[in-house]
Amino acid sequence: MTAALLALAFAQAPLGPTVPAGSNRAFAEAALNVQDRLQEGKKVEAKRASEALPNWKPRVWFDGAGLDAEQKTLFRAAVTRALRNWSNQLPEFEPQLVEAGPAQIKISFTSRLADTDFGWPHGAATMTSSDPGDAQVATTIGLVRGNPQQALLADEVHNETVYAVSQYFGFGDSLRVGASSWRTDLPGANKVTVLPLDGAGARKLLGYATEVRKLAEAGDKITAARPRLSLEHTSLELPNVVQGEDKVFDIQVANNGNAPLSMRVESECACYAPSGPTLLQPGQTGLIRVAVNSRDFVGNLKKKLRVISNDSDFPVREIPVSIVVKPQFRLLAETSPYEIPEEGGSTHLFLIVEEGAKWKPQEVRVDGFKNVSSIEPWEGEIADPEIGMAKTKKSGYRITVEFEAQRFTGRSLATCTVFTDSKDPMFASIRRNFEVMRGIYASPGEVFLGEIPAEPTTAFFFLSRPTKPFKILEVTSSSPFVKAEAKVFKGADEWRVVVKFDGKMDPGILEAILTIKTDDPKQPVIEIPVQGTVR
Amino acid sequence: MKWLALLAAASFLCWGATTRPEPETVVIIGGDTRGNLSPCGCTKPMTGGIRRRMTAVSMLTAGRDAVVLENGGLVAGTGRQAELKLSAMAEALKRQNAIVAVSPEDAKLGSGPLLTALQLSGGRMIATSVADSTSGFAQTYRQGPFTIGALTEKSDLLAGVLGGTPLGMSAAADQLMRQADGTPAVVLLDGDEAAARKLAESRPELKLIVFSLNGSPLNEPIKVGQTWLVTPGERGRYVIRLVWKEGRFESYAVTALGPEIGDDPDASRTYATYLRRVDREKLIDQIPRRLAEGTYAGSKACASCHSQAYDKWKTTGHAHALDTLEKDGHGTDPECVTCHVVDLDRLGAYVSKYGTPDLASVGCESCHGPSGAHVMDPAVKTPRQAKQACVSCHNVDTSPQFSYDEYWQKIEHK
Repeated sequence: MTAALLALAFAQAPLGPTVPAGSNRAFAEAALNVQDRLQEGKKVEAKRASEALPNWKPRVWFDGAGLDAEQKTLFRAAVTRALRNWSNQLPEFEPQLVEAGPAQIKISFTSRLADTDFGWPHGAATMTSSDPGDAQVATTIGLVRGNPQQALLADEVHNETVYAVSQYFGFGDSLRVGASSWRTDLPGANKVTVLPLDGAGARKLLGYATEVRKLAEAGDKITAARPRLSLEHTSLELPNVVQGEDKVFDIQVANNGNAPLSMRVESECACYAPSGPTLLQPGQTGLIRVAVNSRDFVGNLKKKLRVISNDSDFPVREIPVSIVVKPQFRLLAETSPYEIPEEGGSTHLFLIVEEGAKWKPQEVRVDGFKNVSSIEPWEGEIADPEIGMAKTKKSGYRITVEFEAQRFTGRSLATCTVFTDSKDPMFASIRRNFEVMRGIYASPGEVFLGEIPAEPTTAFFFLSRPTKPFKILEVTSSSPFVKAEAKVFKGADEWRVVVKFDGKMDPGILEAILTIKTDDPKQPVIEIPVQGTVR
Repeated sequence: MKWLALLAAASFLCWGATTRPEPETVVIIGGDTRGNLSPCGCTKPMTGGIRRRMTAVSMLTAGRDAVVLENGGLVAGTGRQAELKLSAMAEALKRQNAIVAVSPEDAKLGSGPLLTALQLSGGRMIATSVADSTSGFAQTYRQGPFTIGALTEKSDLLAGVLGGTPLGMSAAADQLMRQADGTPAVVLLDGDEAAARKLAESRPELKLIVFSLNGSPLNEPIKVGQTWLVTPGERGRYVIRLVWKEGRFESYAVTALGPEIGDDPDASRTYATYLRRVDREKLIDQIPRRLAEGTYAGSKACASCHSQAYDKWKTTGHAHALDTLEKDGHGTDPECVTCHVVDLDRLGAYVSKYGTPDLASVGCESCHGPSGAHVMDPAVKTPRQAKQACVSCHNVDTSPQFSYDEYWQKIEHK
């Protein structure tokens, strides 16, 4: 009977204010401490608990113990600068910098913090407390950080202080580099800035804290507000779609708590565009609707959605989502590199089109070499090793490229472009490069040594003309520091040229041209550049 | 007193009480850089890049015995720029004695660029799936306590480029185990999580399998029996750090290569050399161009009727986009310039800062399309849906925090 009466009493008590979405756990816990005490009818305890909530005029204790005089001056100025940056965006914020406790925010220093898992010291440790007897935020900053260890900089003290204040206000951690509520243990040249939106966020949190404090002052009974986010899926694996196919999926959300749930949804990737309710009343359900951008993104899209809410137990929930978007088309070369015979010759490319594509090819053009090209419908078996597809029956189009006899020798790229009737620029012209070669060609076409010490260094390249043996008569170098020698490699149709740098050059840019004389009257001389930097 | 730790547990603050670790090996894992040598600098914060990566590796190894692994995918696509990137990647990785898997994606460049990369990498590029490579690629490599192999289902494709005999997955795994000869074996796998699980189930003696994933690395390693399955995620944005101690892996950590990580001076020189080569070879003049929807008028031509919009534009980052790029040293890098001028890939559009000054930087026609016909006759509409043009450059890679509503406020005009 008593329990029933109590339950009735609680049911009738007005609901406390809900914690703003995205606030940190210490802030939420401090606010709920007050509400829980009020719910229990413990006015004194509620009032005391409300002292742990942030206010506009906190005492900030700069504890310079362990610092020398110069560090004290430098770091104190950095802390002052950080507080001023907050005040610039939030004029109502009037922190009082003090040299001794008690205080709501404490900044202290130590010679070195414990190592991270990576084996180098943490930059700072920030602890928060919802106990009104403690500093609500205590930040201890190490005097060294990083690997190799670097001495603490004033800018790092500034950044840590900005972060400490953001924690005091109740901000959740930000992933945005340089945001007031973002931090790193690494030695950082990245300056943290306090933006107008930080000021607005802090004002909202402090406004909420003030409201809760007033309730504690009044001491009236309330019901603690605890919104609870419930998600239909904690992860999603969606069936495959073809590029461009409309794909939308829903995730049902519910508020199983006793107070309004504020929420927003973000995606890790532009491939998912989420939208959904921003407010759910207790017991209400809603749908997060996510549109997949299957036009601009293909492949296995394995990304996360983040639901940020005022559920104090889980302010941020992540939902991994994966979907495979199959490309609408593949343009495959039959042979690359294609070797053009002396008198000219032909090769094929294949345009494989997935079902569902709403366009048709109109014409084809191959740039780079003289040719005549045509396109016709095709059906047959083809493999696509680039995407791991074994030989499969496919349909699409066959492109025939008939190369004329060429004067070109060596190896170069040709570009095949298929023009379609699609109005969508993504499918209006489809392009693929493939390699074409003729005569003797060098592989690689140059010798790049990179950065080398002033010591003997060796590299090599190949000269080939498949199935057509040739001779190298002489190899000379334009640089006295570079020599080269050619030897038959696998057969007389492939030669290996070993390039030797003697290491005697002064530091600087090394450039040379190797001149290779052959017995081919059409390619009597082949020149290969050699590049590098001697340090 | 009730404390809530924000950053770590209570033991976190035991200053000076660090215990010296027992002998152990730190393992750093990267991969799938796909040619993203540098984070695109247009919108902060960007992650990745070889300069940050090298700094991160130095920090994460902290002077301990270390093994650095690179799971292939150094570049994406073909073409001269990809070749130059491959060289730069190989040279940067050599400085950290990284063992590099040759992946089918890299092999698309052909044997020449791969040979250059092999030499620049100090001979540490491996392909277990190709036996007797005539190009000199090793099948496995011993580093620290490990024997490392690189396996792929696409061994045919790889063997075609490297020369030699393609091996199936099972034969390649046999080969690795033979060469490991009782030492802990590690696989750099050209395959996804499912392929990694399958391999781990069939070869429980493997200690570690590194697989590819189009996304962020996992929060925790996958454990199949005693085998750990990890992935560095996509585009070289992360490195994974493991510790090998007393015959097993521990201490899994993911490090995002964010802007808080400084540039490594050696890698910066390598990157500067790469940019110089891109500039010297005038790659920007060689990009293929397609027909445009019309003729270009240049941003100035718009000003006479749309003066307010023009004045607004002049105050935006769009109007200085090319200058910004030049200051960053990427003014002739076609991959970057394409998003900093009007339609680099269209005939009749941007050619050079001096030849087509009114098409330099992101101008009116970047979004509205070639507007020569509209200038001649205002009744003719401009050809593009401007709202849809944003995402061609403000995509997830170059502009990770793009939101149309927020960004529109920066350039709002009528």
